[in-house]
Amino acid sequence: MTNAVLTMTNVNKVFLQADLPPKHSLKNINLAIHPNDFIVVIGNNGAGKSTLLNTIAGNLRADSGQTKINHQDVTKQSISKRAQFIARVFQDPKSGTASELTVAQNLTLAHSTNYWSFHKFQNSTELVQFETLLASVDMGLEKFMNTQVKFLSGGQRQVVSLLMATLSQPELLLLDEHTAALDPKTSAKVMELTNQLITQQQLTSLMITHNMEDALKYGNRLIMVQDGQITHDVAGPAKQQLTQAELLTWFN
Amino acid sequence: MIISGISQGLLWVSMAIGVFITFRILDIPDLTAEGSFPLGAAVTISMILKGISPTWATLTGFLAGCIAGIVTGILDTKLHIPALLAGILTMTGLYSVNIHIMGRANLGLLTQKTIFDWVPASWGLNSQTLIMGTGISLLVIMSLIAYFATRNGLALMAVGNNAIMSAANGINVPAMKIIGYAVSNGLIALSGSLVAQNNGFADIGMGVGTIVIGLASVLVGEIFLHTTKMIGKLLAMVAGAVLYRLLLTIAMSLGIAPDDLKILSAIILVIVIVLPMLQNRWLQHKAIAKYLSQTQVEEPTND
Repeated sequence: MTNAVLTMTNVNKVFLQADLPPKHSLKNINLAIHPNDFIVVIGNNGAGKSTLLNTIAGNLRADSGQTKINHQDVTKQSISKRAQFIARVFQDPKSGTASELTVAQNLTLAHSTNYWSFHKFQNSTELVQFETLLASVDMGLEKFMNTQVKFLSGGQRQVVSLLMATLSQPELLLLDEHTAALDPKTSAKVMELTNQLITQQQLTSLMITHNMEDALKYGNRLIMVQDGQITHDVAGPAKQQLTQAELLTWFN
Repeated sequence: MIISGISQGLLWVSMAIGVFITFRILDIPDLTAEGSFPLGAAVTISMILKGISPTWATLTGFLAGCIAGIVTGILDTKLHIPALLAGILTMTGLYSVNIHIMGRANLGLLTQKTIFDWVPASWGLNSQTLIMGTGISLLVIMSLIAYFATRNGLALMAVGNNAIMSAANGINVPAMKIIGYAVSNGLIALSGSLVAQNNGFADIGMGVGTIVIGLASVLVGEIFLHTTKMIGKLLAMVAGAVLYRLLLTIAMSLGIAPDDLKILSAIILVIVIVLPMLQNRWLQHKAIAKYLSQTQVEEPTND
């Protein structure tokens, strides 16, 4: 595929463990993510889902193989370098935002990766834009523009993280079980908002989830990671026809 | 005596602000301070003795501190040495560097002009100290307020607060930390340079206890001024540095020997760390007791 947003070729990741055999977390992974893919990733704990996501984001370096984003080899690039392509929402609502800074300041950081600028960061057009954006999710967040993020609830923080991640139209959006730490109602709301943002902005995304209903309901492609390998990769109509019972059989 | 305490305190403002940048913004207890403070003093005094203008000598003292900070920054972020140890390593190395710069352990000025002579000597030493101390503190505070209003300044605050989030948003975390270390130690060296010029000498031992004095100033300042605005935080550092110096002046006038000032500094630091914690706990306890005494909890109903 020539137009892939991301390609991984023969990627391996091994963790050495004292007194135990090495843990081969990614085994010759080959994966191509195409524009407008919304991929849901499922799999057991320890199957390698998070390792896969962290290797894409740059938190982990692949031990062999190659990762390309937009035809650029990023295999050895740092997280901050890859941030020009990738945005990420973490599982822990505390990870995605700077708690001592205000909501507006957090959004400013996400808006532009040009932090070597010695111009004032608070400009009024940007603030108006942020206010409209916060108001658009209809949770009253626009009232908290100048509130330090640490005073927001987990759900509110996660919505801010999500808005930050989608603010600069990333080439690839990574969602790492981003609703797992929320209560069922908030979780459903954040998931619905996620889907809405991805559809509206036609974002290419990869989402890890343990929620089988979400895995079936959202996305146009589903992959399953088992023991460091991609065991299932279903897209389009075939993905839509999947049932929960069928998914559960994959886990055995 | 009070005036003398206040004007002396103003010379320590940039030190308090320097410690504030690493300790509060970057969330790192940086011990480089113990070496960069005498470094600023050593560089400035030896340059003045060589006939270089005090302004340049002071500025070079500041820059020397920046370099010391960069060294600690590289040890921490590039070589992954724990921050506390990185500071200790630079501080230890700086002892030899400072001796080499001065040529001996104590270097005094004779009749050379210092940066305080921008103010006519006929006005008296206290006025000279007060005016120059205020002027330089203002310059430092205004520069930092301007800096923290820029995108780069915002990035520095983010890095200290949440490095994971900062990296995910494209910020080069090591580079920003090194900048923080550099500015912090530059300011601490500037303070050392001013104190040395004011005293008329640089001494190899003058850095001992710098971090304790710095942290005490930061915490004393924060007790009196509690705010989230950068300008308020920086003004709190001014208050902290001056109040702390006043405390020491009062202690000395009560007959405490100069040799005992270090242990007094340490005790003051313990008090200002513990006091706000006890105060908070007590206030919370009182507020909760008051709330509970006024509130009745209704039994949950299931319809």
